[in-house]
Amino acid sequence: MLQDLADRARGGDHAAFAELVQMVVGRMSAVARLILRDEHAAQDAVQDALVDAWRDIRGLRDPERVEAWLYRILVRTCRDRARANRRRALLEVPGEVADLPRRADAIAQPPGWDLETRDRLERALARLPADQRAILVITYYLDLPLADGAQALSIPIGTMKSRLNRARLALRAALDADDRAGMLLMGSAS
Amino acid sequence: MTVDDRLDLGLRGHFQAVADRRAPADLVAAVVSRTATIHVRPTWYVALRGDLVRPTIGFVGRTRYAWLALALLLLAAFALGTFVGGRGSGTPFEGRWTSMDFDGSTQMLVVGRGPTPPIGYTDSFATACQNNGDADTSWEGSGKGVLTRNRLRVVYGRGGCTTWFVDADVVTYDWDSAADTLLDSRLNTWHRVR
Repeated sequence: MLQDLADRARGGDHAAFAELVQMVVGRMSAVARLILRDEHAAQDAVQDALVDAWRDIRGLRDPERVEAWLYRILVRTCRDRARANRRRALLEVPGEVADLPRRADAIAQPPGWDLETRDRLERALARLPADQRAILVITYYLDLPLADGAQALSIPIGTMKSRLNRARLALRAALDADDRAGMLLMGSAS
Repeated sequence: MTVDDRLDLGLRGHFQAVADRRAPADLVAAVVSRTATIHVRPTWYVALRGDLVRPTIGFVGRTRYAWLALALLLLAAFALGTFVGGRGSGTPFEGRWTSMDFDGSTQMLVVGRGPTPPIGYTDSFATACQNNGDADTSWEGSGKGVLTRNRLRVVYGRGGCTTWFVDADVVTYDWDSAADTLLDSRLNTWHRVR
């Protein structure tokens, strides 16, 4: 279905593109929210990415991979937007948990991952730069294979591997920092 | 289960739990409305920009070889052309040129064959369109050139973005044979796209 719409859109069929947008906009919004952690910025990024996609639709060589192609444009748009807003982002309160909906039911979590653990993870994710969040979202939310993830970020596979590794280390460091901050707070309260 | 495994599994579950896949009601309408008035870029332009268009996803190595093969083919064709008949009726202006606009955007110029070549021009971001309220900022224009020695004088027809246009405009391009660059009357330096 997506492939057929992409094929028609590539031929200049705007109605097909509109239908394609309807089908992908939800997941694209989710990805942009996870990377940018700002509702307005995420919607702007999705809108800009889809406009870019239409403008460059003739560059889509493989309609079967239209979704991966769209994610690639979206991730790049999010990255550009995050860079542009870096100064503003630095002024935001670090570690603040974004107001994200929670659907904990029926989600596979490791044993012991309660709401508090997830809040810590949220705070740790908030501390990471958007580039590193993008890598984690591509890998763990979109579940793109390493090669596709590398394509989405326009980097070689080897670089993708090392950046993914760095992002995971940074996340663990942020979680550790959160632990230490928690202990300090507990200490000062007592 | 190792610490890394727990983190991987936790991240997967966490993203699935917090991902909000609802799109605002007006987002689709906004995209459809914006794209309805935007021209789809020609394939050659998208291919030249290259950044959005790595061919198939997931085949980096194969793609690299394909580009290499294409480059070798073009090189062979160029060498053959040089040996057999030089530039033939081609002019030094003929071909594709690129420059960076003063606002940092990329401009492309395509000059056709002959002493009065057809001209295509695009600007990836036209500040004038933005300043005049055009939602689309991708400028496209075309015109006709007249060649006299090392100068190409181009009369552009009506050009612009989607809602904002300017009428006919004249731009001259001077070819620097030593550097194989063009300097236009707006003081942009153009480099040949090989």
